[in-house]
Amino acid sequence: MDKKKLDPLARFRGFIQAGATLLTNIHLPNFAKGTLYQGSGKYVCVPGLNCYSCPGAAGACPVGAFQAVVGSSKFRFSYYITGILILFGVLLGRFICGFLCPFGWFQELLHKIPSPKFSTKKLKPLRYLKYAVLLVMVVLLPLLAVNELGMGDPFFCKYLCPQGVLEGAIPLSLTNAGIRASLGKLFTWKACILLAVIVGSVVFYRPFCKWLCPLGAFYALLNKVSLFQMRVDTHKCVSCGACARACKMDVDITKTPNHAECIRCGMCMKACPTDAIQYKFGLGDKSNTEATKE
Amino acid sequence: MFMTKKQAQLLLLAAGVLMLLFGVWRGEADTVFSKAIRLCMECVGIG
Amino acid sequence: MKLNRVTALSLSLVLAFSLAACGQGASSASSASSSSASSAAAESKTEEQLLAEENEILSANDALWEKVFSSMDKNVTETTLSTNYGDFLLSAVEKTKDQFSDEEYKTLTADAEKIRDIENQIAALAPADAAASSAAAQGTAFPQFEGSDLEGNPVDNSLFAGNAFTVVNFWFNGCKPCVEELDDLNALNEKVKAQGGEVVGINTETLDGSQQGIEAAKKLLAAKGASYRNIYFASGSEAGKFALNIMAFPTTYVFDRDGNVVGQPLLGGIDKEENLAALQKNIDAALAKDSAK
Repeated sequence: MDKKKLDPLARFRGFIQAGATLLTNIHLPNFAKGTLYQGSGKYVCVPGLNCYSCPGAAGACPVGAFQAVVGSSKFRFSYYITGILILFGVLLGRFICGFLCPFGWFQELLHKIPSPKFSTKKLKPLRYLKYAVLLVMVVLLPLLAVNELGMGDPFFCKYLCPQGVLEGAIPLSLTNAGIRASLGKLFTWKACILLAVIVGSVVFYRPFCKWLCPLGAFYALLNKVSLFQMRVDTHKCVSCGACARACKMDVDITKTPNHAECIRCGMCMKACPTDAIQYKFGLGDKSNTEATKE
Repeated sequence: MFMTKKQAQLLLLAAGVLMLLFGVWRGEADTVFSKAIRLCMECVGIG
Repeated sequence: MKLNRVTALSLSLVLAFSLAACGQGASSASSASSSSASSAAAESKTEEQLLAEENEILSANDALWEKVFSSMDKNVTETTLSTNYGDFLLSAVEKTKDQFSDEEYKTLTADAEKIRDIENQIAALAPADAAASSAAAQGTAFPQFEGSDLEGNPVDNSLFAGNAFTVVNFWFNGCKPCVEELDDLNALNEKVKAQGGEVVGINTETLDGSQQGIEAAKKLLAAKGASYRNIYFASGSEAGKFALNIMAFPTTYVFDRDGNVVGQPLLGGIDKEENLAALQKNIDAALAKDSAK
């Protein structure tokens, strides 16, 4: 009976994730050719974490694009990318993480591999690491660590981002001998990070999203005000705690329906015996029923 | 609270649109484009 | 449940692949180069066999051919080299016709015609070597171009013929690793001048003479103290396509006197020692090739 009433968004989440990943990397023939898409789609950034050096990428990576602008000699801050990310964040919040991000989907698929699974409830303090990554690696270092011409490096891309190796270096080096020849220490370092994230994703649920992703951190800041939100009907809720146990992002939705870590995956909705939890989209606070509001 | 959630949302949406337009106006989109169509070697971990 | 199994299996495969990718870099690169080397060897072997056949034909009637060769014009010009060797022999036989009996003349022409056929086979074997234009199409030679340097002086393909080798560096203004090697490229240019080499820059943002791009490029070059030539041409030309096809920056090619690519183009800045060493290898190969001529 649950399945009938379950919101179609939550029910078909896996398909939506697959579709979003495909759309974000729609230029599939480029994988065989070992080239990049160079059309005007690259003027705009996509909502999820998706490397623009991926052969199939249809648009720019928001984190990479932000650092590219900040690190260029012409600009010191990117109003363009910040503006786009604010719009994404206010409209959808971390719904993007749960439904649209290719790297989030990748980690979730890895988590399906049978293995012992560990809870991340005791590792909650690590959540704050991603805000430091956002502030230091994405904003401050590209801005401040510059050469005499005012050009900075994209520190997050260069030293931390595993998606660049997965989508960029690996597929391109398979088809391009020149790129293969130039793989060096940096590749080894980043391949190790990717490996750690892969192994981590098998045993933990979405470790990169929880602890390291600067894009997730930015959307997390806007999650409380996003138009896409969760509503708990306090009349229907029987306080059984099933939702909190089902939540793999370690959120108790009855207490904090729009918590910064909630990726809107809908696992709590599936677990709820009384269908008290719903998706809502609109201005204002929709988190509780009218009756419970003051 | 000095601002309702609805006001905060509208304010942020307006700010987002204005920042986006300002960024485009001063030419940031071209910088993004020129970076995004070429292989960013340091981004993918080459070199 | 079954679906879950399948996803799990395919995921473990992906995992295994990405693990393998770690150590794959060097080994797959070497296997690729060795396979191309062996296929080249197979081609040259058959070419060698064909050439051996030619020699057999000539040595069978050694005395007669000796006569032809001795009375031949010793001025081997560019045109005689580029024409079919069989045709060349035929015309030589024709010129010395009166020194031979009818029977001897027939043998010689028959031999020359056989050689002409073999030559055609050899030409069909390696079309890339025969036609420079097809080499350009394959990206192994710099296409014909007419352009100018950033000061407006005209430049064309004669650029390559004037140097024993030409190092061509592709870059653009917003590329930090490109800008950071400009001073190293300038130092390299000063160094290779003595060897008859030259470093030339091509900034993809200056193509079509874009005023904005040229100004920015000049500023960066000046800031880095780089004074070597930077050139541009039309983006729609074959050379423009060559430049715009380059995906990773900086990329540095070495071209020989004929504008053919020497070695594997280098990706990455030569401010890194291992990259400079890789470029030096290509330069040495180009120098060796040039002095062997």
